[in-house]
Amino acid sequence: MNQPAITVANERRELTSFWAGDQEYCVDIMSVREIRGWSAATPLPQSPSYMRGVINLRGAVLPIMDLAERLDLPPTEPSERSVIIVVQVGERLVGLLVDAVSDILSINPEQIQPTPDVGCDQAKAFVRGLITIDDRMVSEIAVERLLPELESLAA
Amino acid sequence: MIKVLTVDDSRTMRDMLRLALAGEGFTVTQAVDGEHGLEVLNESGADVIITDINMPKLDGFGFIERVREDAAYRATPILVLTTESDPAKKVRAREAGATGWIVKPFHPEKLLDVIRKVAA
Amino acid sequence: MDELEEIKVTFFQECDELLGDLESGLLSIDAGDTEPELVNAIFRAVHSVKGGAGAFGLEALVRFAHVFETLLDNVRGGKTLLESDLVKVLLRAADVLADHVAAAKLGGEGDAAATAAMVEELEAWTSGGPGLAPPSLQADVQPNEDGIVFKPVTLSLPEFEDVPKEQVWTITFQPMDALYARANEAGLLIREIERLGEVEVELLDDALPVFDSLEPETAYFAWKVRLKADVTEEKIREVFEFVEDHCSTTIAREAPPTALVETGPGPDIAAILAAAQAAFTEAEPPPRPQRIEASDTEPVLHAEPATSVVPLAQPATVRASPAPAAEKANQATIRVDPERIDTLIDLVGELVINQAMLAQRVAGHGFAASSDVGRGLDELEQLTRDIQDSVMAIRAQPVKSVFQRMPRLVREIAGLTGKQVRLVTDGENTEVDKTVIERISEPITHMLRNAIDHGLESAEDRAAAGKPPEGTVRLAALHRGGRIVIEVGDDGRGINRPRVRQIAIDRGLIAADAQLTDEEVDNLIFLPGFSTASQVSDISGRGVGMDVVRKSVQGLGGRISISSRPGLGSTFTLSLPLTLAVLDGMVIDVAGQTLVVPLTAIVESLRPAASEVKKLGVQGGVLAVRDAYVPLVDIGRVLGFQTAEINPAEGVVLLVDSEVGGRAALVADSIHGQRQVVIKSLESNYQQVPGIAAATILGDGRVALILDVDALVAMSKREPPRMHEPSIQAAE
Repeated sequence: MNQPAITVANERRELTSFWAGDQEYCVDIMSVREIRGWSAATPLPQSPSYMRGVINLRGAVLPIMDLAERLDLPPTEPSERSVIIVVQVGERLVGLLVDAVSDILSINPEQIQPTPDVGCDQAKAFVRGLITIDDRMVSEIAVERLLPELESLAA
Repeated sequence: MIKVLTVDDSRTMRDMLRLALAGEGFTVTQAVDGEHGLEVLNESGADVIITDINMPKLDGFGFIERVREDAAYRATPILVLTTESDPAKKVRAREAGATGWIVKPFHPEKLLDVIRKVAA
Repeated sequence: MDELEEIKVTFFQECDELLGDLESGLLSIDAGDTEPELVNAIFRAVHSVKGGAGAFGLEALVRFAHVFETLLDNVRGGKTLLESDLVKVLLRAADVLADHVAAAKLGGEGDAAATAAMVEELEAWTSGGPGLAPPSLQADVQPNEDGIVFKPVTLSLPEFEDVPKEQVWTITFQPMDALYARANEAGLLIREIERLGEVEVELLDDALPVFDSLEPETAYFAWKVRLKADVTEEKIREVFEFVEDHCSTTIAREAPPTALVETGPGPDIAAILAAAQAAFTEAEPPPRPQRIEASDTEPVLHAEPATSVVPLAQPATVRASPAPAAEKANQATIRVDPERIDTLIDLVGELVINQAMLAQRVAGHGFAASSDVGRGLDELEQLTRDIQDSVMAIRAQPVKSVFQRMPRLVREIAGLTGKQVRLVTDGENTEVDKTVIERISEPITHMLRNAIDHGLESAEDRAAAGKPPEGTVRLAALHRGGRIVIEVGDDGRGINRPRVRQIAIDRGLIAADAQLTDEEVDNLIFLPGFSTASQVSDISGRGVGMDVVRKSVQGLGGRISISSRPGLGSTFTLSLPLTLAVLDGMVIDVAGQTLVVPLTAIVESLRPAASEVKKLGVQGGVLAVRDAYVPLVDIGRVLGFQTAEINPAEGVVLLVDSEVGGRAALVADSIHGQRQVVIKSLESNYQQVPGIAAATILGDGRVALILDVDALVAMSKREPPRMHEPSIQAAE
């Protein structure tokens, strides 16, 4: 529905950028359902450690994923300043635990460069492309790739 | 507003008729068989009646005959829903007192044309 | 959704109902019911499927339904005798029709080969009997070409000219009495002609007699219409489509197209019509149509109201406009988006929880139950429960929709096994929440398969045992103790206990010297990895054993068991909660987490004395409960919330009955008490979690997990390898 994947050339895109594990990332603004403060999650047994648990999102059960840990970075220490970005992935909602929201970027699709071949598998798997703004480098997260792999992990 | 009573045991058909008519300024009432049709007619009246033939309890022919027995509805146009494959049904329906017919499956425009043909 | 798409959804729902009616009608006939209305009903079912399918252009479905309908029409008209063989054919045709509907639902078409074969069979019956119809290739190519006449046919009669140019037509028409008797009106016909082009209308009242001989129900007028239009004769004839037998009409084209040069704007049609009406009004005021009633005070003249002589007047509506109440009576049902009901049910669930929380807090503040506040809360609780029951009732559905699918399944399995089977159903109007309806079909399917494949004997074996060759399978639903119970019984051979026992021993499921009651032996078939079929049969097999069935039933908070009497048959009993929306649970604390344990699993809760806890091995332990030792299951450890074990003597123990591992003692830190909770799926946004059945939201807004007791006990057994448990791991 709100899959941001396909964009027409020259159509400007808006991205929400945020900090996770000392690096700046972004997701398409169309996939962001809401941004909320951190609240303690109910842990899920037998789940990967980057799954911080579940919280109540207006009556629905929302899984919370520590994005930094998912990307093989040191786990996030949740604080009052931490933020949960609720993104829609297909029919599902997932909350991404990040350090802080930084910016709204409006870019041309040409500004996105393919991910260079770096050693880190997780980066390759979850980063759709890189955006350079001034001297900042922002990685666009391919949110749709974050969840499906979970199916096989715990099954 | 012209009030159209549709009598059909098929919910799909009733919905199709409602869809075609309601947007065109008709008030649509519905009945699920001939007997129910007579009840609804008694309660709410109708300016035009559209009825199916094959229905439980009281079929279309019987329904039309009963409607025509009532002096109040002698001049109410009654259209039957028929299929092209069954010309004999048209004849029987006309004998019972039907004003005209609508061939299923109908096109909404065609349906409106037919109603305009019989209702002022 | 587009409105037409919505109607399409309705159509497919209706199809399912019609197919159900069709099948149950045929089954009743098959069972010997000779009620003539049954034949009409099955005819109508097929007819309605065809009608709706036509509206949506589902041509393959229409074609097949047409062939089917034609035969049923013959049966209805007595042309084809409804003999037993034919009923069997019709049942199979109903299956093919159902396949077509299912295919159309997915945007495809039914299996062409199966359709062609069935069409051939049906047509053979239509044309006189069970033709043995040798498979002919030609017949297969166009199986029912002559049957396809349902689509509206546009007759392209030879036109007078390629492109009709504007021309002048003279139309005369003289209505007969019958035209008015069918509520057609001359005025409307003239208006229809007017729509085609410019008209000049002339009233021909030559036939109007003198006043004394005027007959009120006789049509006297004729009209002559000159039409200047760019139309074909065919188009003009169409205007008279409905009345062709009830008026004399001539249509002629005037030769030179220049004849009407100076016509100018046609005369006012309304004036002409008004003149015609005036002619009548002078002669005799037309009686107004009205209802004849006993109390009618009108003069005798009106005893035979002659409405048909006023074709030009609007049918006068004498009747008062309907009372609003009468309008309301027509709306026997309302249609509501199911999502709205789901939301309502969720909200009422929250209300129940909040009410319970409130009661708890009030009690915590020292208000007595007999105080005003306490009594008020009691009333609130009662009210809340009543609302909940009422709301749940909105979503309740009879199990009929599931039961209706089973006769076909039984026919198919009977065909595959070569056994003779009669299915008897009972209690199909038993209602249960939609959430449950959606999920009982699968276990029922498996139980039926099992009953026919394993339970029933072959016709020969039955005969040898002195039973009727036809086996009976009974499918029943009933309410019992706030749950729905589904029973699948057969009158077959019953469970072969010595064999079941031997298999269980061979597979290491029980010890060779285990002392088991008959009931316990029967229920061994639910153990993971157990399958009585020595070779995986195509029917019960499909890689699914009764253990999987039981697992899925447990996933619904249900239980399944079997009882058997050798030689007389077996009965599966499936018991399920009436809803999957709420659950009665015990709220407990484990390692700082709040968890909910389904109450149905709990036998009792107790605080064991230190002396009752016995260590067994490094980490395991058992609890002495009365005469038995029950394995201890540390919930926090099994779920991985903590590594240290709770000392059961310092915590609380819940005795549970798990279907896989028997009785177990779950160890928790503390118990908060019983509460009804609203079940929230973990899978809607995430996925299944081992040991967890679902989640819920507590009064403080936090998420609490609901334990899957069976899975938890199974997980606890996986840690330290124990004897006789190899197949449990295999099942994962």
